[in-house]
Amino acid sequence: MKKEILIIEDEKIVSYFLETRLKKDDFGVEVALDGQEAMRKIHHKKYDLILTDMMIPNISGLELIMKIKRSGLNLKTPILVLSSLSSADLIVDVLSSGVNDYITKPFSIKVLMAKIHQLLDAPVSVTN
Amino acid sequence: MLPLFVTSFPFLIQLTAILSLIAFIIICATIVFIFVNRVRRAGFKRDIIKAEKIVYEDLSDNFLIYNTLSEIPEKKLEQELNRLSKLKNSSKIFRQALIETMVKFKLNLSGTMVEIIEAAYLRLGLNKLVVSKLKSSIWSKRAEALNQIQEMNDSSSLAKVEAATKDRNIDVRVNAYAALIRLNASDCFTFLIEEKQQLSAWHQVYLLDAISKATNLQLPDFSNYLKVGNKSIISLCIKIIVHYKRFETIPTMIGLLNRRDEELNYQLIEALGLLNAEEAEEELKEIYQQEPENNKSQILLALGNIASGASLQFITAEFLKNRSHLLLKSATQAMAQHRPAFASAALQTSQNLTSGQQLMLKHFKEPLNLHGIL
Repeated sequence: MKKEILIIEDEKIVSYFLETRLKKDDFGVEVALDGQEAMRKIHHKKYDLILTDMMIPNISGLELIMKIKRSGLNLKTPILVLSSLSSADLIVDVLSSGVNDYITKPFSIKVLMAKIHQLLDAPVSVTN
Repeated sequence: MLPLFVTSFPFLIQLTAILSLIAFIIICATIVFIFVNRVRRAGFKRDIIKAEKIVYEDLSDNFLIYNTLSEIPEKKLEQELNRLSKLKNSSKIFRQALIETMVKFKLNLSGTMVEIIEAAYLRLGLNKLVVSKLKSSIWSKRAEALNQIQEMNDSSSLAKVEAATKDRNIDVRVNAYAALIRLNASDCFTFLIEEKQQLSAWHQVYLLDAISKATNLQLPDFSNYLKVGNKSIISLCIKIIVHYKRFETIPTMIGLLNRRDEELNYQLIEALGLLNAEEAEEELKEIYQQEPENNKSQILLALGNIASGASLQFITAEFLKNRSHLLLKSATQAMAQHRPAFASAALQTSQNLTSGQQLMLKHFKEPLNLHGIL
């Protein structure tokens, strides 16, 4: 069965590129371009992985993560953050909010794919 | 031209009526011009977004499915480039969309995939199109071109970038300096001596950002650049020195404290503190009395940052003088930064203290306050 991934990214170039690459690797992919669309999708479907940017319209990145962690369906879904924000303090904040991994932009697709496979194969840890 | 009943009016009223009519026509024409321009610009923007979509979908579907340039069969590469070339030649909108999309990909991706983007960019001759924008009479177009050159790491345009450092517009020159830094040009820091105009805070941050993004950049000894006449250049150098911890410049920075420039002194004092320059302690204490209050506060904070112990007595004396809230706060913070000695110093001075002094001591005994977390 296909693993389902939700990409939350407002930069269409990046989201389309990721969608194409992930579909090529036989993942089921959905894209949300803003916070509202992301929350709608999260409340209606269970995903195997959520790949999100930290700066998206209508919601702050940390708020979105908190909401995902509180949502019934995706409570245990691993979250991978892909962001151009590279401040060490922010990365620590994000990781301690229950995110499983963090990649800074510009990113290498090889590293991203390796992390995605690692998160999908590894047992999921839940942070309360 | 005027209605008949107006011609019977006195000359002054007739003149006023004519002038009002002319003003009205000019205002209407301006409004129409602005409106038409806005509509055209909005249309152009929409077209660019549509064109970008076609371009990034094409690149994602056909080029970026490969991980490295060598993975793409030459025949396939040729076919794809021919197709993109037709797109490029079809309209100005597609040319712009191709350039902007590639720059965006380059900003977001790293690793071997960047080779694919760079190769496509060069083989489509987009670098030549970007360089041609340097001839534009609009300064923002020239600045945009320089920004695109640096983002695409196009070292084949180095000579044109060097020429742009002589541009009459400061924003264009700053973009050219940043491009030289990113392209790792051998003389990329010459501007620190040659630039005579004041750089704004934004220019300085932009150049610092270019330095931080440049790979394999050899930073020079900034001691000589600290002696130039352009104050904003010295300010930029201080920021670079602190960011990259260039300790070899400390003696020159101490020497500059005597230039009697309040703003520069403030920056120098702060920088010496951040560099933990113990050798600057005596000089800082020497200039203390002649400096304005803000700088005095910064000296106390710098001595606190250095925290060698040699200035604790000086700081404590300033704390006891209790001359202003700012100095009291800085002196207490500086005392608190001498962590092991702080408790005993606080105890020794705790008698006969004002309530303000006692409150400040209590405040900085809390480590989270000391580090500005609370």
